[in-house]
Amino acid sequence: MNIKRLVRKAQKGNDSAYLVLFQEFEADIYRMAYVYVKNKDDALDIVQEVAYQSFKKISTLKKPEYFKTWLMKITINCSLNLINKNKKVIPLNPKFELHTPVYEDEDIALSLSILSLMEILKDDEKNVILLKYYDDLTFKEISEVLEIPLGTVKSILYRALEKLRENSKEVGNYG
Amino acid sequence: MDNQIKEEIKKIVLPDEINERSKLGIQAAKNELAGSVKRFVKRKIAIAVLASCIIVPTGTFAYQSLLADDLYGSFDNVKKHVTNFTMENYLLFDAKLNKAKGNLGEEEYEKFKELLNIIISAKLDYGDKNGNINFSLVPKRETEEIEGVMYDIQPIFDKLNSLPSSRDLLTDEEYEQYIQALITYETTMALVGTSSTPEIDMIPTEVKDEYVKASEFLNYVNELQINN
Repeated sequence: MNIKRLVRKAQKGNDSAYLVLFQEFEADIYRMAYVYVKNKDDALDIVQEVAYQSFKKISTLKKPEYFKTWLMKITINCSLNLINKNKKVIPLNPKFELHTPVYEDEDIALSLSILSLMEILKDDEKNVILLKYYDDLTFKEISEVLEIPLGTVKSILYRALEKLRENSKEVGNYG
Repeated sequence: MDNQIKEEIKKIVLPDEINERSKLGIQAAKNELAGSVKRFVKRKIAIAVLASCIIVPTGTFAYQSLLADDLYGSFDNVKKHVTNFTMENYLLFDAKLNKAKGNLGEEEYEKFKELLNIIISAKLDYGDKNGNINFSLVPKRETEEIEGVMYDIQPIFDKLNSLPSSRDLLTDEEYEQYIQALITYETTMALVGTSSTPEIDMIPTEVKDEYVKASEFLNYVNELQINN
């Protein structure tokens, strides 16, 4: 797939070209979003929102080679926005939630490790871990996407890794 | 650790709907983008309309009428882009719509729109709040282009005003003078910042003589047209 060519086409308003391009990354977007919002419906909403926002703003993307990075930045922003929005919503009757399973059938395959990733890490730690290990970005790229200093990226990463190591040790102890 | 994290994240199962949701998002953006293009075109047309009405010094005609609601949206839309525009102007233009459409043949109407396009972009670039251009501030090459357009479009205005063509009535030399007079008139209006015939004492001294001369010539042409 020639990403640059498809980006150029999309920038001229070609939505079919953009769909081909976007579908190449939709799985990554979904999975990243899932780590933040922890449920299928919200993660799907984020995929749709990222598709919408990114096609609307595609003409502002100056360097097509940064398309993926740009898309991941939008994904993170959408995820954090949704989390913040949901925080403001107070459930009318929390008791009912006890009867709904926390994770749906298809998610049973998730190991404790991915669950801990979602449960233990704070949002800023998730940002760095995902960009570094899932999207394979360099420290410099992460610092650009998140608009934070390079040193901060590194310290957040080490803190997050430490948390994960601690957690796996604990799990090991119990096991 | 890094591969392990990636492997873990990949365990998140992808739902079937994901593809459909991508399409929905892109479609929504596409619809909005299409809407904004239309709005942009409408804005340009709206300004052109006002511009052309000012070119006709007697104020008799505004074929802008052919650009009623269906073309430039609404009175509010026009008002947003050109501040000095009243409801009365708008209704006046609107009333002229059918007349213009009926008076011009298909070919002439197409030519008219083409010429109008050039005026549109000039008005967008150089027009003041009333849509008037101070031609002394416009690059020479562009002034010449606009002059050329006015040269061709004026006979169509005449036709729409149910007047004999100024180009036919005047000698070549006089017609050239007529177009120059229109330009002087518009430039003076832009200098004074008015949307109607300026009071003589509002006009800066250095351009007053030229304006009076232009104004007299426009009246002469107008009378010639009415009496023929």
